[in-house]
Amino acid sequence: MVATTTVSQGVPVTQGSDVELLGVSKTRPKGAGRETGGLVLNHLNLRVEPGSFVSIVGPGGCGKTTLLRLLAGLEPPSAGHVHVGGQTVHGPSPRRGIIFQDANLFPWLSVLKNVTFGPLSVGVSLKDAEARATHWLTFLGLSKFLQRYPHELSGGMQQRVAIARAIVNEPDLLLADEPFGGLDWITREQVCDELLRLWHTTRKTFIYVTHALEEAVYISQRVIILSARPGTVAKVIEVNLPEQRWAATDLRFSPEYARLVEEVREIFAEQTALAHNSR
Amino acid sequence: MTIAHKSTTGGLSVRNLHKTYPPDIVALKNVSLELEAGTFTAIIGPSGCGKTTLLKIAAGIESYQHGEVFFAGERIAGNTSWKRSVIYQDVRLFPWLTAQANVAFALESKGLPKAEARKQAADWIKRQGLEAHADAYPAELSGGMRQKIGVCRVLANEPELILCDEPFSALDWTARESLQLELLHYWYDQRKTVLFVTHNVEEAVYMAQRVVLMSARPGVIKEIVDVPLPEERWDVRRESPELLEVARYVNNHIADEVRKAKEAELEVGY
Repeated sequence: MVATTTVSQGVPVTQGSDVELLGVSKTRPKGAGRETGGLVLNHLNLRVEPGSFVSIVGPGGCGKTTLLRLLAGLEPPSAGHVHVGGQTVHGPSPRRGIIFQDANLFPWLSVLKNVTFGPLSVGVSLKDAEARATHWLTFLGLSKFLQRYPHELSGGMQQRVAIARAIVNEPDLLLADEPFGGLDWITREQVCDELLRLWHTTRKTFIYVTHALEEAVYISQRVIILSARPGTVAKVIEVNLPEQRWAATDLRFSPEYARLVEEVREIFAEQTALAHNSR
Repeated sequence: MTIAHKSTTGGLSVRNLHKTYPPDIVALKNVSLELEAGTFTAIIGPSGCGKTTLLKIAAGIESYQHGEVFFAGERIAGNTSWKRSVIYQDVRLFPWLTAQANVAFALESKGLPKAEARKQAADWIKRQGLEAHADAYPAELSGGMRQKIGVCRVLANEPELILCDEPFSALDWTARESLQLELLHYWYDQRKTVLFVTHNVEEAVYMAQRVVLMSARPGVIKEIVDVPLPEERWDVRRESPELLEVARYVNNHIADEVRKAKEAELEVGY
């Protein structure tokens, strides 16, 4: 639970935090959200091991994004407890990075300055901030683009900058909300591999929300399937595939992977059917 | 399962097609492709390989510099027709019309009397299990429901060439699967010619009889892979070894092209 410091290629990194949700419920007042309001998450319990990679899937409106927002500290639960690294989450923190579907880069700043912005604003020296930013941008294959501006980059490259911007703050927990939903499938598979390599190197805790079930299986060690709204954990699927998945080119077409995807798809379909029947 | 091969339609013939966007971006380079009438063909390739350009040219909404494109014997050069319809990733329903009225609109513009258009639109919507939402407006529907209505709007018109531009890639699994099956059944029963652009290897192999692999820009056809699976694809398990074998083959062959496209991206930025 105490964060330990290790060194990776000259850049200090800390190991990921454990995450615990205990009896978490979230209610929204009627008319406030885009849906009808009422109970969004219902007494949800979940524990995520430090340094693991889990993904969260579930029928539309099941509260996946709400769950992520609670973990990020962007809003409080209505009941229950949200613990990260043994401490209750009270608000946003640079210790918990978040990546959204839209890269949300500052258009008037270069790639490098987009990434140094976070460290500089918490008092890291310019030299250190630039060293760290350059390290992660190079890791993500963007060493030639440090001085470019966001509009000069493809969607996949912008999303890589967003990943660098989140990881440069050395968070213990990285949250991702459909980060590659706006990318085409082939680009998406590539950026997934980048994120996997990043996780493997840093050993942060990664929590990844997606609606692409095959992506959830490919990228994580465990797939958490939420029930229809109000969301609670319906099923957890362990993904027993090798960790260095980016190195196995045929993995996506192996029988083991295909069986896991089918299993997740079946449970997802059951949960969606339940959602329709209860409407 | 009844086999009602109700109609066959024309084939699409693309010969030595060349398309350059200004100033000098070669989108398609000497592309030739024959789609026999009533066949289901998928096109897959990295971003920027010209898949969508080819589709737009076949629809008659994009020009080209050299070559010839024919559908059912008719030359296509910037002329559109209801016989050649496109299903887009975002179907863009008319927001001021109900689900049913969106489908009926397409039928009426083809010349059907109002009452008949309304009746047929209602049948289409019922077949999708959406009768409870027939009078809902697009904003009141989920993304999956909107896409279903959009697909109904195209199919109800009985186009003879169905051009699909990543039609299901923004949908969640249940909606994607249900629309894949809908299109497969429609194709099986009606034997229209389908050209299906996707980035998803699994989807290409599951849906199509043939998969066309395109190279990174400039787009040329690298290979055409036959998918030796029964036409009744809904009986094929997605994790079946036969399907995975073809998918693996396709994936390995486009992997090179994806690498090339990525290197090109790293050269210019986009």
